[in-house]
Amino acid sequence: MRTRTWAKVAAGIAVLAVAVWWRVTHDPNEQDLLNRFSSPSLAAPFGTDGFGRDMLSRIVDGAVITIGAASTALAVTAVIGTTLGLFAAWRGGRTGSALLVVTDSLVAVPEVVVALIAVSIFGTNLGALMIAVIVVGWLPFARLSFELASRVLGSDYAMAAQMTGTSSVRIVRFTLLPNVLRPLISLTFLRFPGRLLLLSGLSFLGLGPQPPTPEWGAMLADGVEELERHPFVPLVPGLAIVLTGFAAAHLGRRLEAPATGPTN
Amino acid sequence: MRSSRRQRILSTPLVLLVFSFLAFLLPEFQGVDQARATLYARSEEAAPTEEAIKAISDELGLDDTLLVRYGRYLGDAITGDFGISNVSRSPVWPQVWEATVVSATVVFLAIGLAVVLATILGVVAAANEHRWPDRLITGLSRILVAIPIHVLTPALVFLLALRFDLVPTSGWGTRSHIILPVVALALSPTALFSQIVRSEMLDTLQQPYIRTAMVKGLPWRRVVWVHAARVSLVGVLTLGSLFVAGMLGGAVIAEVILGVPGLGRLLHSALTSSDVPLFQGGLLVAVTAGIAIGLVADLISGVLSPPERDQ
Repeated sequence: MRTRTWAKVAAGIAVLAVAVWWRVTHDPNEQDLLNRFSSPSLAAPFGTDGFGRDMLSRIVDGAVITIGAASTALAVTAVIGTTLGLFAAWRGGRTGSALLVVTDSLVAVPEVVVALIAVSIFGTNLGALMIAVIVVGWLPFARLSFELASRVLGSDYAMAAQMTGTSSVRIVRFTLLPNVLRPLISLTFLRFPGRLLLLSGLSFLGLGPQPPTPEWGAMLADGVEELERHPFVPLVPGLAIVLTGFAAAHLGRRLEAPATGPTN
Repeated sequence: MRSSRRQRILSTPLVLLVFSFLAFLLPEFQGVDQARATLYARSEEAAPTEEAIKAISDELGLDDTLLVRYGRYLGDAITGDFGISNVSRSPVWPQVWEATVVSATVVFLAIGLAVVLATILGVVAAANEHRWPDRLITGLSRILVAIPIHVLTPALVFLLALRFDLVPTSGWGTRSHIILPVVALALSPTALFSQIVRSEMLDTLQQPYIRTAMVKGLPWRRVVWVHAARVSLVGVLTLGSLFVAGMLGGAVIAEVILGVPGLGRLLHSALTSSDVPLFQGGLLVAVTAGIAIGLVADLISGVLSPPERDQ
């Protein structure tokens, strides 16, 4: 089992190294109008797009942009949501029920619609997309951290800690955090595919970084226009989005499993 | 842990107020000169004179305080007056209403299709646990549930419209135009629901009353489809009603790709053409619809699954 894990890691690093080497030696924005829509070959392993640009190096650049933006936005969301949830659990009472009411009412508002508001305020660029993802994403983190923390703080051992005069800092550090961290990290990974899809989906609609930025959603949108004659061109960024989502979801489930016991 | 139903219903107007204020503020955020925009919407492209701008500012009351203007905007919005589109130069409300009807048609057909398909597939999978029909259904749904709508829709266009020529690639108007958006929206919930029906069915099939039915000598088919499946249908209906609001989001992307003149495409085109009044109107309707559907779904799930009533 362990050797298999190491083999996977080694294979991953090897693929990554080849991709990075390819990106360094091939400019993602260099046009080659004589070789438009070329099929995969040794000269261009993922083929070329409508401007004859190398798809592999565009995918590599896009990975940095798309995955980078989605995970940054997700991290910010997780911190904001968790802070709100923990604060509400700590204060309890009115603050707690206020958080529940707010999250319950907002959960019914379609994410994409809220994201469109953010885009309409901040414009069509990558930063605006990230803000959109942050604005809509904090709800589940606030809910989960509130519920976990309320349970921990209401438990006998937390009471005992408080009654023996343990400082708040120590209670947070040694009682609260160890009990809420793992489910929250697992939630972060499980939320990643959704964030990736929201970000690339908005970018697909032309609301993200503008050409020639090789963001995956935008690349997919470009490719879809050639769907009929060159289905390979949209297939590459499409697969990149789907496979990345799969991988993150898989990781999230693996992280979740030990905490909740074996699932079937 | 959940807030009480009463709290949620009472907080709804508050949420709507917040979003209407946000919608009202959008032109301020974007730095749109509303006098010029309105003038442009009403008359020709000719450069407006200073007097005309002054007159229109007075008429719209742009010099009033923010709160006064918001009050006026809200009053108009409640009576269905969302102003005049900057692009089409016609009132916003009829456009938004037509688009909403189109979106509602697509979304409800898709949810209906998903519930029906998922029940059938989930029951078949559970009745054949670990045999090939189960493996096929479970495997396919694990893949489908992870494919985003902006990848799935072009793939469907490619397969159904371009390769096999079964349906038109895009557009709206005839009956065959409805198929592609409905299928695109329905596939992912179908995959998700069918997995839930499957696991619920597996639980149900272990229940004593199922054994009783079999001991009575009822045929297996009848036990599965009549006695057990009924329980799962309740679960999937509840889930389906909760899913409608989330589907409005996917509808935005599918509608843009497929050229369906629904609320999602309206929002998208209003946004890309900076048509502020149209965007505000579409936005408020979408948010209101989402929250209203959420409340109704909440009530439905309360009625359908009695144990949740007291939580």
